[in-house]
Amino acid sequence: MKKGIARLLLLLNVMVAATASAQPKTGGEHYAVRLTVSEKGSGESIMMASCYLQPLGAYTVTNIDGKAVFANVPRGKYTLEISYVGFEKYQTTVEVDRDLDLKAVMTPSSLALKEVVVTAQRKSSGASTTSVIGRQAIDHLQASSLADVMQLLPGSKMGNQDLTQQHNLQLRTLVNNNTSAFGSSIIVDGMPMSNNATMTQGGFSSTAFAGTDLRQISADNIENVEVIRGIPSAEYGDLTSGLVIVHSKAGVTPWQFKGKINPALQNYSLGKGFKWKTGIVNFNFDYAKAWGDPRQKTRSYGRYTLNMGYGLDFSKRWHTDTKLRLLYANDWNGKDPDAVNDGTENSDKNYTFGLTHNGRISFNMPMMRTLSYTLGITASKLDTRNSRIVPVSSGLLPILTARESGYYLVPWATQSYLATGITESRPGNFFVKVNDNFFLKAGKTHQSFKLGAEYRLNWNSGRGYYNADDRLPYTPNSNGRPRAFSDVPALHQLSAYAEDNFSWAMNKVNRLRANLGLRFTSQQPFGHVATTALSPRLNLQFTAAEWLDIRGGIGLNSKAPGLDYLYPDVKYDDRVAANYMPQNNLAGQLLMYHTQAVHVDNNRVKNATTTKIELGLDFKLSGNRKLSFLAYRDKTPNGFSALTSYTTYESNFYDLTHGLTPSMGHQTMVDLGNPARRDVVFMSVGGVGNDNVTVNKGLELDFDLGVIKPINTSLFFSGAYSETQTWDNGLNSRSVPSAFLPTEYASYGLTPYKLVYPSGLDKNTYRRFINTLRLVTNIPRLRMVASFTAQAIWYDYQFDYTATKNPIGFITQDLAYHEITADMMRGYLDMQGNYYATTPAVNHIKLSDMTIKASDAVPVKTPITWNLSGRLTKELGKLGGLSLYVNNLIYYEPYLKGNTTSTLVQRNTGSFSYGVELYFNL
Amino acid sequence: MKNKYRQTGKNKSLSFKSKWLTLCAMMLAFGLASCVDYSDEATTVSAKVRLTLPEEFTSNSGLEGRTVVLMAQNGNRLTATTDAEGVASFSNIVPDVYTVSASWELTQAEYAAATGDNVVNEGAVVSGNLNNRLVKGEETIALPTVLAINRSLVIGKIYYAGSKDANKKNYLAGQFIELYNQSDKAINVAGLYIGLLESNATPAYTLDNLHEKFSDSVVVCKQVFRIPADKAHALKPGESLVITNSAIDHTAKVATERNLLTADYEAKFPTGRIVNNPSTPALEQKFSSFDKIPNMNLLQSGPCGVVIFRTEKDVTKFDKVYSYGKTNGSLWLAVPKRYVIDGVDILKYNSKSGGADVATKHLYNDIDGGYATISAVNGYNGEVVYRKTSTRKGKDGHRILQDTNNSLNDFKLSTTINIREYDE
Repeated sequence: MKKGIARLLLLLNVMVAATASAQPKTGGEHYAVRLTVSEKGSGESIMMASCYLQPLGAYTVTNIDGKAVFANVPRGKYTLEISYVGFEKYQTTVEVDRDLDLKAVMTPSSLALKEVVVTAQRKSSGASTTSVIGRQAIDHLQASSLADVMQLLPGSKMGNQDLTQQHNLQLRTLVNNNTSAFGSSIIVDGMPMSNNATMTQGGFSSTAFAGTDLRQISADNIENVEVIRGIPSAEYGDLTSGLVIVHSKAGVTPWQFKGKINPALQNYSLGKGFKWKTGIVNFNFDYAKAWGDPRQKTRSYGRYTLNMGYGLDFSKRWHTDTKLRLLYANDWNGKDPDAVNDGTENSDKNYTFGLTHNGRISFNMPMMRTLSYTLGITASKLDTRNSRIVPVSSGLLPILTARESGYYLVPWATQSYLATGITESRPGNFFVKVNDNFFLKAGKTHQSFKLGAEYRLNWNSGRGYYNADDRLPYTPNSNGRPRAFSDVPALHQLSAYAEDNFSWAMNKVNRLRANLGLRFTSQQPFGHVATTALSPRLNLQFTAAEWLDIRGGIGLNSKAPGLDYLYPDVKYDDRVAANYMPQNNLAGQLLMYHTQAVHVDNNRVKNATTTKIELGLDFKLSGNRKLSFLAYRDKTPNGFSALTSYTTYESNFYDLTHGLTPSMGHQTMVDLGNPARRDVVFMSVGGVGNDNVTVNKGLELDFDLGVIKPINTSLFFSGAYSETQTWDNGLNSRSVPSAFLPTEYASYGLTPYKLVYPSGLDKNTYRRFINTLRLVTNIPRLRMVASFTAQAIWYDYQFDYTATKNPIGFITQDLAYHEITADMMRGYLDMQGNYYATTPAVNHIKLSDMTIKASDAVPVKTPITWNLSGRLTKELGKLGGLSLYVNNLIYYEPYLKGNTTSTLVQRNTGSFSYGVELYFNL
Repeated sequence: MKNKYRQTGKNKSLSFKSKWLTLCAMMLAFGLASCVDYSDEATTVSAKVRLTLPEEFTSNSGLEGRTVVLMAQNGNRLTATTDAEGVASFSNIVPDVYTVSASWELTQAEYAAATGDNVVNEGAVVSGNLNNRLVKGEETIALPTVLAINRSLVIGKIYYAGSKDANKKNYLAGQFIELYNQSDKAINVAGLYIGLLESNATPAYTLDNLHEKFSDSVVVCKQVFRIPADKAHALKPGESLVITNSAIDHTAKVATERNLLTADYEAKFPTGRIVNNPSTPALEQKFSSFDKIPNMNLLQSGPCGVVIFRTEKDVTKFDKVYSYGKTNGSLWLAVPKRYVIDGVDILKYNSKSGGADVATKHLYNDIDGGYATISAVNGYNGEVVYRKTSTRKGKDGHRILQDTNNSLNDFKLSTTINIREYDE
């Protein structure tokens, strides 16, 4: 770690030195650019409009009179961008060679304008692959949460998002991947939605939901969303892949009431932005209720969100934005109201409070143009309550509650019972970030620097998992023990970063842009489970000709393990020690268990690191057509996974011949010193490791075919070929198959040793080739936009490959590892692990029987399917508007055969849906 | 053609106001209707079934007066009696897929006369069975028959379905298998093996696979148990033997279950979550395909075929085989067919066809020509599969159970029948 800090300091030094030496050359040629921003038509000044001067990265906001100043701007040619909620982005080129006074007139967004954007746009300023999805696109899509918005990305499957299911962010992966979901980052108004304090009861599960639930973010309060699929800026960390930056609405807006209705969902929102004292207040209240399947009332999701924002200028130089976010969401599933209520139901309640304060102070000093900071806190109360009737199908269910190793006489249930398990999770996050932004110009080059530091604190003070009644546990087995989340220490994470955005206009055509960044993160510094990460990155973009941009990048991103990975639950293993159930002597009935509790020391888990490589070509063609190609490869060689490691313990078994002394009408006596069997049991320790390997690669195509003017129709064609390959590099071991063992092993679930096989040979591969064509017809005179989307999945492939493997070793009960060489494969092992070249007289296994043969599975290919959807948005003057959509327009749900099945399977099921959205400006 | 007809009818109603057009349309409709070819409509046919006697028979007599049954998939049952040539004629039957069967019993004397074999037995059954045969008519279907010497020990009941408790939750601990001695002598059951047939949803071995790989010589078991051989256990004529996983009074837990306190043997699971009765002798497990399941794995939804067999050989040394065409996965025990005394093929119920899929049969026709099944896909409906009672009686008047070598004929279902009872 010290090495990392030293490296970081060195880099900062270099950057500072570069700046210091560059500074004098530009001295004396600095000017002020003054702006006055007003609304078209009314001429009213616009307050708190965001103004950018690119590529300097200079930023300011307008005051109550609509005025803003960029001070100390070096001579040069820049792009001025002004944006404000509800208005078209204002963009112009300015030549700064003296103090300037500019007037910018902004046009309110409307479908009466010729330019309407209802698709995801590739962000042009920035070498990394970023898509921007704006308000009009979100409205046209009729999104109800952030999860819906993601289907506008190239290569994404379109379809219905069921709000009753949790959604996490899965970018560039064809299979739900735990690490990539946990390692995605959602930043709402500057504050990352952290999932580091998420805690679960029981062991690590690679299939459990991880990451941020996108449903929490209601779509109606979003101004725009940036999705960074490529290599993100060093400013953003604690992620492996996938960064989503959400900007919520800020600015004066009229009262707006929105209602979205479709058979699976109702969503209403009310919002307004208004001036209050010297600032602007925004608020948005949103209510959504979803059922998933309208025919069934067995599950629902309800969501209430209140967002309040207050933008205030403390002084001319100090602009602040404070956001309050309150959320209540309830996931429920249970019995249909018409069915007999037997008390079984699951509910998941989420109360979240979030407060974020963003500030920006313009110092206008050479090394500190703008200092921005973010302070944020979120606290959630997550209450999960599950009730079910626990079946006792075998007639005997032990109630295991022991939390320490030992022998216990346990009570048992003979009949099914209603049980309730409760999880109270109280994750909290505190976040503070300071960012210094400055820029300089030397000759034909511009540099914009970001230097910053970040501190994150995550904790969980919840009571954790417990049973409503300890005598009737919800999960009456080894995975059902209570766990207090508050026992787990808090997580501290410190980061520092530096980034240089370099731009060099070589001549009128050729231009080089580079983004060089370095980020250093230390988690639990000086602690027992400390991890550090140094993540460099480089993005380059070169304008080779007026019509061609070449870009490429390479970068590392690191996600530190969360609380749940660093501090896993205690692992329990329970074995029957005696089961004596005389039917004629009820008092003598006895059930004894041996419990083994292992406290896992998880100091082996490290960061998951993704290396991203990208290479892209952007063509500008005649007629305003644009064509982009992008090849990428994301590799995570150390994704989070369950760690396979063993411990052994001794567990005794007692019966009437040994240890148990019954007597009629009295309790049966146990003599622990006289067991019938002494078994040595292998037990998996249950930690979390970094053994999952995932490689995502692919080729994306984005073709903006321009407008067919006579019919006012724009065409967008996109395609993606993607491949995901995943495997496990951890210890690959198994017990000796019971069929080869004497029944005394098989009957008691024992193995004489664990056989070890080479790992990393069994791979799961997924491939998909998908094309999407979007036709967007815009009729400004009717204030109407219609879009049709056709999507074809040409190729959908999945192959779970198992290789033929010979055992390469075995772990005996003393946990020693013994090698099995290739020539030993003709021989035998006895139950103690002694090797014999010829058949021994004692119980033995034949090593050649232990070979794992390749499975006869063949790749599964889904036949070609396609899908059509249509959407329409119509504005009703200033009063409001309406949108309609139909997914799977022609109800194409064909029965098709796959390559491995002889039966017809219905495809595209559940893709048909329709809905309407109405909004009124009051 | 039919579509055209329909369309014409529609035209007619559209032009209802114009008589002239109506008339034209009607004429056209009539014209078209007269073109319709009805020859593809189902017409009844007649079919003949010719019985051939088992190869053990030395004379060609005894073919007359036998009942041949055609059973349609919808459960319709047609019967006809054979003539002296062994031909049964069916007339006016709808072409369809039928199961064709015939069986009759021979007394010990009849058996000796027909075969010249004087081995002492309880008589025999001649039976023939063709599953799912398409009968189109105008043909003679050959129905070969096989001879099965009446078994003295038969599988009388199998309760694998399990039930639901008061909370509508599954209850499986009351499963049992019952064997019945229908001979006139006591049988020593010590050392008898009980094999549970492999029960994969897609059979590990279909009958074709067994034929190809083992020339019909083995049955494939997932578990094998043995009645302890250390001391004799005489099962008297007309007596039943009950084996279970949990020999307790299950009615205390689920009212519709049975009291199994008197069960003869229990497949013990000392480390399991099941109540074992220390007073009930243990069944020995000799083979299991699965880890950690030392007791009987009776699949509540089926398949749940059972065989009983006797051998002096060490069954643990029998071949262990992977599923057909596989080189990994579960290992099954290949039990030589020649040791099998009785077998019942129990298949998974198919709610669409109202029966089971015979393509998933595990047992050869000469062990079980048909199959038994409960009437629920997932089980838990409390149904016991049990043997019907034959019209014959033992020497001392004890009951003889129906054993025509075809479980479709021999078994019925009950949710209330008790152990050691065959009347409801």
